[in-house]
Amino acid sequence: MIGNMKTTIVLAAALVLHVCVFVAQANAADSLQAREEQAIKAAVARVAPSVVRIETVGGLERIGQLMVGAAPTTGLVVSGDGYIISSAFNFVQKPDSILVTLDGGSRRPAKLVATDHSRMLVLLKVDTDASLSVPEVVPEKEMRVGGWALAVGRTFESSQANVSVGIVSALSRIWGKAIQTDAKISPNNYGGPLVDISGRVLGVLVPMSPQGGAELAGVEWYDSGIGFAVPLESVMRSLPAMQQGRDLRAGLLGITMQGADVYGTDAVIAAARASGPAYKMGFRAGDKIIEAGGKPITRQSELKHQLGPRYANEKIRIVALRGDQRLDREVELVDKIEPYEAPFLGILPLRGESLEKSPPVVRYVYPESPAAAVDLKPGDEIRSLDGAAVDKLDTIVEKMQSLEPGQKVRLEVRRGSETLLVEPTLGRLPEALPGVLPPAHGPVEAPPEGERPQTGVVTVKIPEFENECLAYVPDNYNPRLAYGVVVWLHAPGGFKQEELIERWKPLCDENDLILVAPKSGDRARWQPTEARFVRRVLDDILKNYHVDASRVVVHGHEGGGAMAYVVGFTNRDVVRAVAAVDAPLPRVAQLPETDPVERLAFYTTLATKIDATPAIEAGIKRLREMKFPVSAHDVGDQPRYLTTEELQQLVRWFDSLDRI
Amino acid sequence: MRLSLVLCLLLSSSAARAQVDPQVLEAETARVAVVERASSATIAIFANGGQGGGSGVVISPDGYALSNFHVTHECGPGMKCGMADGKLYDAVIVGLDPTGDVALIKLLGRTDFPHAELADSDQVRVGDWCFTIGNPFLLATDFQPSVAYGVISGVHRYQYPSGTILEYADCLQSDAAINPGNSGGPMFDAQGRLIGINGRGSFEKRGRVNVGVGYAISINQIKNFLGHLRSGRIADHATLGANARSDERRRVMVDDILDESDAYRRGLRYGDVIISCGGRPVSSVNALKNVLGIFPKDWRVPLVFEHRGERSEVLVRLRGVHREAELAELIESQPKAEPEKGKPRPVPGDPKPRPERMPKGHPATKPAPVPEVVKQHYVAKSGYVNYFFNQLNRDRVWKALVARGDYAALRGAWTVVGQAPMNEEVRFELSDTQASIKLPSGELKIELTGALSERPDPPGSGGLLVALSMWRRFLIEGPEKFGDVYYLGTAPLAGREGLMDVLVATHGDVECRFLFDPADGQLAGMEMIPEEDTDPCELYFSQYKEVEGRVLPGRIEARHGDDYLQVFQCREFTFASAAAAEEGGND
Amino acid sequence: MTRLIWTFCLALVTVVTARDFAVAQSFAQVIADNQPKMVKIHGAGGVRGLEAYQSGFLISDQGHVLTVWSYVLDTDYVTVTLDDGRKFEGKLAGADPRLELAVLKIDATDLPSFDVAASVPAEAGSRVLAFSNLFGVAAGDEPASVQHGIVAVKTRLDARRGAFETPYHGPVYVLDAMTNNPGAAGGALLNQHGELLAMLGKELRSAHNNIWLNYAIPVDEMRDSVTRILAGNFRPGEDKPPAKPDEAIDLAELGLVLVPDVLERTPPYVDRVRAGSAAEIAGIKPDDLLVFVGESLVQSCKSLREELARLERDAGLKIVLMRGQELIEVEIPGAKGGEPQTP
Repeated sequence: MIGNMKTTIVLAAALVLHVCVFVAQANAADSLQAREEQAIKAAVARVAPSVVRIETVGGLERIGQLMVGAAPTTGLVVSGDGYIISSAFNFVQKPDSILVTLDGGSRRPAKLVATDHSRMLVLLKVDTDASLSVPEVVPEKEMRVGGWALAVGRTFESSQANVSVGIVSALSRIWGKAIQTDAKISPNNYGGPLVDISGRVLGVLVPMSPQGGAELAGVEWYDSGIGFAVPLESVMRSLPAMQQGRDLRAGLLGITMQGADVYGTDAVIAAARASGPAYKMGFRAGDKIIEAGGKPITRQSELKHQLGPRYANEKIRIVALRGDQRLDREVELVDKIEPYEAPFLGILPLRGESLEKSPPVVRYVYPESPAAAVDLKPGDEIRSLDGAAVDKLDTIVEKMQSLEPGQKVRLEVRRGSETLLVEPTLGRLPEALPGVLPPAHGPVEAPPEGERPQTGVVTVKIPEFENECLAYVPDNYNPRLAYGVVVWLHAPGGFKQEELIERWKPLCDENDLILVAPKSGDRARWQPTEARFVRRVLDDILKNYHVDASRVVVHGHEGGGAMAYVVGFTNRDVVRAVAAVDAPLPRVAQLPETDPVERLAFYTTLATKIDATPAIEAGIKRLREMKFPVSAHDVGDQPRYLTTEELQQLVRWFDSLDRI
Repeated sequence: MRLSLVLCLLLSSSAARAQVDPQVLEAETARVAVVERASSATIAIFANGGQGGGSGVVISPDGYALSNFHVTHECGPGMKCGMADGKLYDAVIVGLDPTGDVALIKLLGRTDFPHAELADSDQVRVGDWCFTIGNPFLLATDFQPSVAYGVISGVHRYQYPSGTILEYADCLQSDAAINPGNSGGPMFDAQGRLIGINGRGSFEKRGRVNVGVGYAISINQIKNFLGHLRSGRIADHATLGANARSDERRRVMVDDILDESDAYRRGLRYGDVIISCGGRPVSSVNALKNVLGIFPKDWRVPLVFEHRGERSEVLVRLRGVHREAELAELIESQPKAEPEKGKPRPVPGDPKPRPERMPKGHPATKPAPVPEVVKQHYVAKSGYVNYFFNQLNRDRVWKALVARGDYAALRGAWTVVGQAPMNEEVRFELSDTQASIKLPSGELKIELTGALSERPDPPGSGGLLVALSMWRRFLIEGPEKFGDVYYLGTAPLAGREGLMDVLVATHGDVECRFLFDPADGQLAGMEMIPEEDTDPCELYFSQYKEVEGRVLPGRIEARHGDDYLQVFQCREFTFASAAAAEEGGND
Repeated sequence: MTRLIWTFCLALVTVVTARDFAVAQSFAQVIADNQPKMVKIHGAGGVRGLEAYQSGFLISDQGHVLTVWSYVLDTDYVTVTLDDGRKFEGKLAGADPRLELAVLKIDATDLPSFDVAASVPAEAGSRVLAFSNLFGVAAGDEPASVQHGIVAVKTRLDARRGAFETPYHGPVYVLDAMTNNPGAAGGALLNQHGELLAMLGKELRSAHNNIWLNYAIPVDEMRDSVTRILAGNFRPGEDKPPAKPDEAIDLAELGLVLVPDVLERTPPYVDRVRAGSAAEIAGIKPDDLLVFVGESLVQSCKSLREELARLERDAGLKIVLMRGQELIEVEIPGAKGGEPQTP
């Protein structure tokens, strides 16, 4: 019934349009601008029958700043029998029911058939007796940067499409998954088509971000001249699978690359996950990938471009060099890699300049650790691991990055004049706080001549930030030693300099620590944006002092504790541990994954009688599920900051973060 | 039902493009071609190991490229540049214009880089199509830049420094998307010629995304600075040395003026009305700031003003905006980090509209090691961005000159006989120790010892004899031995086409500027400046002719201030042997 | 049938294009011709976030300026700066609070101006040029900024400023250009031939998805008010707010019991239907999901109640409900007054 009623309306609309076209044609046939205007209207008219309006019932009302679900959104017909593709963004509110308004105006309930988690698309199905109009596809090879790109939605009016005009800005964006346009792309056309000047469909409009992320990633760029569309050609390729109701996910190799610069550095494997397909096909840390999917690979970004468009269960040929050996294997990508869990041998290494360039010497052996099981002793010198020589501390640290708990390793150990061979089975990182530890280093040579960085109480100023920050550097600072860094994020209300220094000076002097205490702009609370300030402060310290990369900790109380988590998660490349007192894990959309290279360990206090307790416990649970080591310290009923003893214990934990 | 099926068939089977106006398709094809060519010259600049960066554009086959000062500032001497050919090139910093937010870098490793053609940005009109190319939000992970189309929204826009040193004068405004990361990237006209360098946007509405208002530094302004940028130095912008306000009749009046400024010496006074500057009519204070904003310090530009209703046209030497130390400090200062890319930011409460610096990526993790090829093209020297390029140009200019004749051997006294304006004979004697001029009316001789700045002889000349001696000394000694000599950049010279190469040479207590015509490599003129904020003694050399295998000027015109003007026709040059000079006693 | 018409239109396109060849042109001339009609307006404001300026354009050679009604005009001294830099005091000639438009009068004559009487149609896809002093970029005799774009769609304005709904809900052109920026309100929207289409509106967010809107109010909508103001006989007409019915429909009376409203946006599922009630007679069953009341989508129990509250009880009620995967339309006849209620 509704259908009939609507068609009459559309007939009228169509007639009107027909007249307009005619008039405009007549008076403006001379100028190119006018001809283009006509072409734009004609192109939209041609695709419009395939552009549907989507409305939802139930679900969430808003996510953060963003209102979702209330406004109509757009979809595109991809098969005559009622399959409709749209943007995952349009369903982020998890609606109970979905209604689709077809071009004719008739409404249909729709089922959500499948989701493409890699390209952020969903496939809907409506029942229809009449075959729906399927748009023509522009083959990817025909797409040109600078060509017309018209974004079409059906959100303002169900009887009319809304249009935004631009050009194709770039191809092969978001690691090869999308094309880019400067047409205005927003919730008003997400899910709709991006069409060329002849009305053929280039792609399906979606918000996206090269950093990946969920349905909302990239929405902040709406209408900015930066918009993305998933080429319809590739959508059509995966359509049969989705029609079977199969969700699609990005394909993973299960490897980590060496070095942060994805453009400047070769694709050398830093760590291959034992549970990952690359490892299973024989690729190992240190292998240099030179070819993937038939394309030569000269830098990490090129490998990411090869992997980006591929789904789980797809096969890709990987060629890598190991020394002069050439590995050429076909790897089947997977959709999920078990979270990485760092292995544990059970020792602390001695520190000191001389030891940074010579085989590591055991400072301490953890009781009941794998090392203890094979009877390693302080003073032992580790010479080789699995047959490969360990010439310095970094070597064994790197080797451990490609190992996981449960794996058996062969160690060659030098004890005095004798050489021992042991085969410990690696365990898990301890969560118990360490007891008293032997000194981390013997006597150190006098510092080299030349200018010394500031020591004692130092004020750190970052030009473009209002925030204040002070630091304490032990007066006997000696660049021949690598120092740990503790970033102290104060609780609401800030801190008194004297008290802070009084509390930390002995600890820093004793344990080779540098204390950094930034202040929030508004002393009552930390703004997440201030994480950038903290980072700049850290960079400043890293630049001016000799810092032990394995012992950079962010420690905070209450609000500062929550901030500590944020700083830790957003600065994985430098921060190695987060110690939060009376602060639950903030509700971050998705927890970061554990990483063999960029490790994170956590310390949190737990008071039994506060409202926050469940939240804190939930946080601990989530972190442990992600295989992060979490040391939870019970402070009794009431929340409070740490006693001197507890603080010393915490500092011992800091001191033990270079554990192997 | 049957009908719609038929139509589906028709729609899918029909070659849709065949139904599009062929002229529209033709125009589209043309645009695609232009965009492709323009993209090939565009570069993505990566800082902090790809974590941050911006854009740029190559302007010469040997790899000179333009970007923003605020983009290159965080990179250090070397940076990595991705191009549309999919390759990553090493580049080295060459010169900076911090006030104009311009940086010149040089890509290394090729002599045939695709490069952009520079347009005449004064021909750009509001409503012209244009496009921006660059690396917004660092999306160019495969080095293929992003392209955005739009129209020119405004021309000759003036943008206040807004807290920073960056002052956008005479810039282009466009609605083509300019986003974080487009910084330093090119703005092209519809034909694909470079009209500007993108550097700013009005972001206050939505934090860090384009809202239809972006600004580009006009390429014509950059052309004026290009010589200075190539000098490996820190270029400074210019001021009149006077402030102006517009009166009730919207005329631009001098509000106050420094009496040590050249404008003052040329007669500009408080209350005078400025009619035009640099050949452009001045209808408002912004218009004056605009035109001044496009010139480097020390350039001499035409100024037309009304003094007590009387109109005068003068050539005025512009002053610097900053102290040298100020700029040097700025260069050494810590690079300023920028907000995380893409993160929207609340609208600032600042009521005054203020375009902001373009944000870039995350701050640095660790400074990457400087590659060999960069080290080979980089020489650190205090006060310079990259001394390597100063030497390069200094030597280029000198080589071009000595190619026309080597003066090193002429260490003896020089005698120049010629005609003074009134046809009476004039005779100059120039040696290491003395200089003299002899006219029928009498002779005048000076000793070249002690403070040369106190030898303004002949009277009114501002030091003609000293100037000539410096000229001789410079030709003989060359930049290596003359004293402290550096390449300043380029500047116009009255009565000459194009811009001259300028060497600044200091000897004793006088500073000389030698201007060379790049057309023939010839020394076209010089200025001898006894002390700051005084009129120099200017010499203009022309009618060069060959004397004993060396070219020497047949005509020397001497000027000082507005009144002194003498023209000497040189009939003969005689050079005493170096031996004679010995007897003359060498100091 | 409709598709036949489409293809006919397309045929037309191809026919016409056989004509003379045109090269890429600039909008420069059209813009140059119209810049003299644009003005910059300075007045109250200047405090946090509130710019003390906006845009406007001349609509009579006698110095009448059309602009938006805003806090900027809420002062004794409003300055109007012409394109040539001349400054005048702008006197308020009249304002229409519903359309949020105002007409200013300056003491000048022989000015180039637009004719609001002329009516020029525009539709989705029509190319437009937006003139305004957005961000106060232009000062003195500097020309207004110009942006290009197209009409994205013509629709009714449904927007909010901060938390408040806007008074105007009439037709607007939504644009694909980022026109509605600080200071741009009151600017002129022209078609590519330089004909006046509309006046740029204020900075608003969509009431539905909260994203920034770029829109302009068509001349046709403003003509009446403007001509009355110019004629000096303007009486502000109010948008009649949807009259509250004296007796609204309520669910119990229909015999409908919905599922408990517990979620943010609980879908309006039918929990129970009272025996013998109008709802049962109409054929509504438990577990039906009510999706449309009349023509409007109800996304939750809350919005259903709101919708019903707007309806007169003795007017009939049309409901579209979803049963399984099927849409069913039911009619509930208007309840006659005084019908005996079963206890």
